Amino acid sequence: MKYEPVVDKYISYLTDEAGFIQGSAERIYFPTNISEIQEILKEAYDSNIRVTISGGGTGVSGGRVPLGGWIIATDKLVSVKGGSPWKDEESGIEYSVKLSRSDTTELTVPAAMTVKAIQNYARQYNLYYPPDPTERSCFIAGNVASNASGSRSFKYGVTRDWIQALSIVTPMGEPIKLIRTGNKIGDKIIIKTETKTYNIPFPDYYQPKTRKNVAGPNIDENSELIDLFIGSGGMFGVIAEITIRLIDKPADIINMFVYCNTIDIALELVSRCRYQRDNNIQPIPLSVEYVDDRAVRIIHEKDNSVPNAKALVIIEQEFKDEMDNFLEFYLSVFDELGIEDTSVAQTYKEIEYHKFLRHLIPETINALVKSYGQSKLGTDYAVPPEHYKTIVELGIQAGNKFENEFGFDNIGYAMWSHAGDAHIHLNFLPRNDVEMHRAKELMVELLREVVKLDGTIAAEHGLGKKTFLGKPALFYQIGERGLEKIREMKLVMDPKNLLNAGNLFPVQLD
Amino acid sequence: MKVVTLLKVTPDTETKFQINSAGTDIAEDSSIEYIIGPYDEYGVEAAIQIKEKLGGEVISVTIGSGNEEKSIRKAMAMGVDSGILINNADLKSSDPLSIAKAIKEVVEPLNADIIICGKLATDTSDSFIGPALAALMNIPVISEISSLEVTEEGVVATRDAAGRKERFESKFPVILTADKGLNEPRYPKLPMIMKAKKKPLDKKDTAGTEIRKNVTQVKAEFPATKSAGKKITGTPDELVSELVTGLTTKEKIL
Ligand SMILES: Cc1cc2nc3c(=O)[nH]c(=O)nc-3n(C[C@H](O)[C@H](O)[C@H](O)COP(=O)(O)OP(=O)(O)OC[C@H]3O[C@@H](n4cnc5c(N)ncnc54)[C@H](O)[C@@H]3O)c2cc1C
Repeated sequence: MKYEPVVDKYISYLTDEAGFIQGSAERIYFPTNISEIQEILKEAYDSNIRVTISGGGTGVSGGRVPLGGWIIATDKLVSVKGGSPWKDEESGIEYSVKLSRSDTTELTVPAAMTVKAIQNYARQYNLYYPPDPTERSCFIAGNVASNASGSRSFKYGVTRDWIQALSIVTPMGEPIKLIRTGNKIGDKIIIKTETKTYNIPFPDYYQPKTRKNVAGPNIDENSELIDLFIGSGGMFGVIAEITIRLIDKPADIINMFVYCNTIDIALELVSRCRYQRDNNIQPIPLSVEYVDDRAVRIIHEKDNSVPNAKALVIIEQEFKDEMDNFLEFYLSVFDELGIEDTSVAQTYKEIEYHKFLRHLIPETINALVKSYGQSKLGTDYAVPPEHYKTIVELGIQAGNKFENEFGFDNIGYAMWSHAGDAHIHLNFLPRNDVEMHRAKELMVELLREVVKLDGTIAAEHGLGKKTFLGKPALFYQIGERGLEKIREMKLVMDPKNLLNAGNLFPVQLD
Repeated sequence: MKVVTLLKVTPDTETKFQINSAGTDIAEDSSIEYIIGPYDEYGVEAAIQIKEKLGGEVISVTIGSGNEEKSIRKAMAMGVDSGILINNADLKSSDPLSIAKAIKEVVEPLNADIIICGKLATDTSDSFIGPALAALMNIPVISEISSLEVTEEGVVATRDAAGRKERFESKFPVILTADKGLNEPRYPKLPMIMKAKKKPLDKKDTAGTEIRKNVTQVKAEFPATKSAGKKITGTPDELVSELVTGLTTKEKIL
């Protein structure tokens, strides 16, 4: 099977978007179909060589960073077996995909199709793929591996909820297909391939009570077999083809920027929206996000029609015919809370522009950190919704402490959050190693609070090779025993621990 | 100040069109999102800014065929006070001169100080309506403006011409056609969206003018797709020889 040495032009494959860890590898493979993936994995297994899977490289936890061995770059997995060609005009990439319409509409897509391309496809056919991670150049398989979520998870749940089937190659190189059937696993995880039966120990570690969680394989008795492969960072196999569920395009969507004079007003607005969802009362927003004053400033610097508000709440709402009633609802809530300034995006282009502004926040933060020669340092914590206010306040305290200790002309932190899911991204902007160390301490302090509140330390980005103060990040949530359990699960399917080694629990480096 | 804005509703420029089964035009299916023509939207914004500065009212005028109300309501949420919509598919698909005449019929009695529209509609790209209306009404026109200053006395506007800026002055009444750069159209505030639903929209099915169709569109097709280029690599000598071979044998240019 053809491969290339990892020369300069492939250097980006040795890290990911967060850049906190730089890896190494000898070979890079670009398979184009399932049997090529099998061939590579079999050879690697026979030769005891580590293999790391690379998707779009937008991950922020070092998941795709290779620790020696070979890289399977999935970039050329653009066709599914028996698919029809479809060209994404935006990127110019030609994919092959399979659309099937019966009771439900399902689309089988190749690993390397980007979320943006899937959204473009759906739009063309008047369909809709609800998960909407902020970063849309990621590959769908990367999304499955990290069970990505986005702001619309508020209403529509996470990537997992939209995955109907997966074609996977196991760490030892056998193909399997998993389909969501409704059959729950109960207390046994048994995976059968053509030649083997894997009996995977059932996880008994702490499972947080949050709406989103990607800290380790997230399995309980209500899960199905397919769920083992979703959100487990590629530790159980290479995902090659994915069948997603699509729904009809909502008639209309609006995206509202709601400017609030105080943080309390913003938090109250968030909790009103959550009330709608939790009690299943219309209107239920698609998404509710909270953006702090520092993050607002980033947007304001790009577009000064966005005022420098104390807090910004971004609400998306879909409509069929009930637009008037829905808008009345928001208007009366805004009136009651004394909110006066709003900006409503109604057309596709306007909504895309709002999204662009929203996406500027993480992008600008990531670029700032890089310009200081540091790596991204942000929380991905979530808590049960009733503790949302507490976690926001603790986050602001930690951020202010950091800014006050070191003094900043520019911002020293920024916080934004998928507020409806009580999920905060508190990002520090350390300018040197001393500040970096302090910021990490503050993050660990906050992390302990999160666990006390029944929260998760990884709501959407996964933990990959992240460590905190010398220990794998997951340690803080599930302890040594929990880590050992995940190791046991992994070793059943990958006895030599070769595939995506180093994710979640550490490995000895050669 | 009375400002009339001509507002054509067009498919979003990002729309992926299909051609209709007769092969004569694009298919009007539900995947098309209709929006205020982007240049007309600069006109709408400019009209509202004039009203905000000098007082008065803004009236929108639209010739449509059924997909327009949502966009007109959006213009109202931005600040347009009232609208006139001539809903007539025959008129909308007639020739530009018939449309300009119909607009004249509607606009003239309004006695506007300023009539403003986009420099072109992104679907037909005629760049015709503004200047034609000026000719029919026998009033001045300043086309493709990218900046505008309005006082009680008149307007000062500039146009970006190749390599230079041109500056024009005119008294009222005047017709202006808006180019990119004139302003950044605002996004409505929520209360305005609610208010817009109650603003007067005068719907008629004819302007009472003659509809002629001197020109008929007979065919629509996608531009031929270019085949992918070929990347050549090698030493300078190899490059030259491969390039020459390609140009002579494959492209047959040399
Ligand atoms: C600015 C910015 C904003 C972001 N916003 C969000 C957000 O809103 N929500 C969110 O969830 N994430 C977000 N992320 C994180 C990231 O985009 C997601 O984690 C994404 O799912 C990663 O996909 P990728 O294709 O880039 O994967 P990569 O980074 O290449 O890999 C991620 C992990 O998936 C594994 N993997 C990749 N492909 C496969 C495969 N075919 N089979 C098995 N395993 C595989 C890799 O080995 C690695 O462990 C953001 C990132 C950035 C930079």
